[in-house]
Amino acid sequence: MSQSEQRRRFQTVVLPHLDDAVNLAWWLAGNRADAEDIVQEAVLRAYKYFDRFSGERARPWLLAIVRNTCATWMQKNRPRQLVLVADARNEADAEAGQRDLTSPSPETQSEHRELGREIDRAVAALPAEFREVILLREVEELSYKEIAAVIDVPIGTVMSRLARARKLLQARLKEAVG
Amino acid sequence: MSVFEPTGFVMDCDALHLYFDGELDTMAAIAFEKHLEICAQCRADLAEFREIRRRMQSDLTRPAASDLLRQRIAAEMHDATEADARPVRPRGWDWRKLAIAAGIVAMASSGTTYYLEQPSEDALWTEGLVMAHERAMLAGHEIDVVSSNRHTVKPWFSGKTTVAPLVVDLGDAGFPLIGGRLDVPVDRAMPAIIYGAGPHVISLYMRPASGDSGPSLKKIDGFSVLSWRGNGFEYTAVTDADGAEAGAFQKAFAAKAATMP
Repeated sequence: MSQSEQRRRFQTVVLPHLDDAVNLAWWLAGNRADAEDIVQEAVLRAYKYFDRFSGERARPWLLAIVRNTCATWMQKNRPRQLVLVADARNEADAEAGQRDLTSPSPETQSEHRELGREIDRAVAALPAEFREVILLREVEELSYKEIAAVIDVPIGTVMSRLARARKLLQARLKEAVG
Repeated sequence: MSVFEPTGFVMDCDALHLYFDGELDTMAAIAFEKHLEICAQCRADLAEFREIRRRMQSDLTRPAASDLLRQRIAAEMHDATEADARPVRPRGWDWRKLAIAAGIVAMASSGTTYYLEQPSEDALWTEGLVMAHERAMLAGHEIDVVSSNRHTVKPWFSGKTTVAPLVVDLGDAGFPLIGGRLDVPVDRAMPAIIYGAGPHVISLYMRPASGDSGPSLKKIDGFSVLSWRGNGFEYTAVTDADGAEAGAFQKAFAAKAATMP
């Protein structure tokens, strides 16, 4: 396969999902400038790995790379907040028996804080590990299996985090009404 | 309320999210619906989760890629194509590990058997076409018969599929005929007629259907999917071009098809 064919195929198969990539990165990183830097890096990585891509759906594959690039970026640029992520961990993941220190940080919501809509604020207020699963499920409409692959945890953990995320949103939205 | 109930009941409440997310197979979903009938808490939660889903899908802020980012990526890809890019394996995408993980939750079955919000046959059909288009692009298998001549493309399909496709020349309208491809999107072989649209590719599928109806546009997995009826066919165009361009293609195609015998 020639390089120009490779490039064209990548443009046809992967780049249609660029908006989804930016959306996820924005919700994880908290502002557009960082989100777009992360997506740019992620897309370039995706392009380099593209000849190894054999999955069925390009969107979860790209989102996994975006999510991992985001985690690495956070580690490098906002290392102090990793401590908060570890502290913020709760019973929901205890049974998973793992501590994923590369989760994007929850304390990074410079643009999120400005959000006007109640649902925006409720989602922004979620700790990062819950925010990412609920976004991947409700907005990106990925299956548990796909979410498990994107964030690299067992399917059982996906389910427990989703349950927790929904409980937190439920409580917060009730509070807003009441 | 589940605290005072037998263990089986507690398990049922635990399945609420699997049920809501369409991860239960049919039998398990029916069993859960029996539980729903007697569990007011689950019914209330379900209604609230539906509302959260609705608000997240319709009201949540959803930033899109800026033009600047698209330009930056195009430039980077150009550079990367020039350079000798050494592929690196991405972390966190190990399907073997995933297969093991999949065994952990017995109730979350393959996920292919949905009970809740079961997709209609039409939706499955359309999804199948999008997957077929995406697969073909991915495999670099865009075209089986390369020809800009409709008199070459159309006969190529005879004997390979029961559908004799309508092939028209749209070069004048800016959508040059590139060729044809045999796809198996759902359960049988189908002709796909391939047109160019600038840097984009359009796969046009057709199956026999009666009636006429105007185009309806959907976005599926980032692709523009435009369906309409006419000339004894139901057409579906799948493309990475945007909706406006897909619409222009449909107009040109319908105008030309109307002049065909």
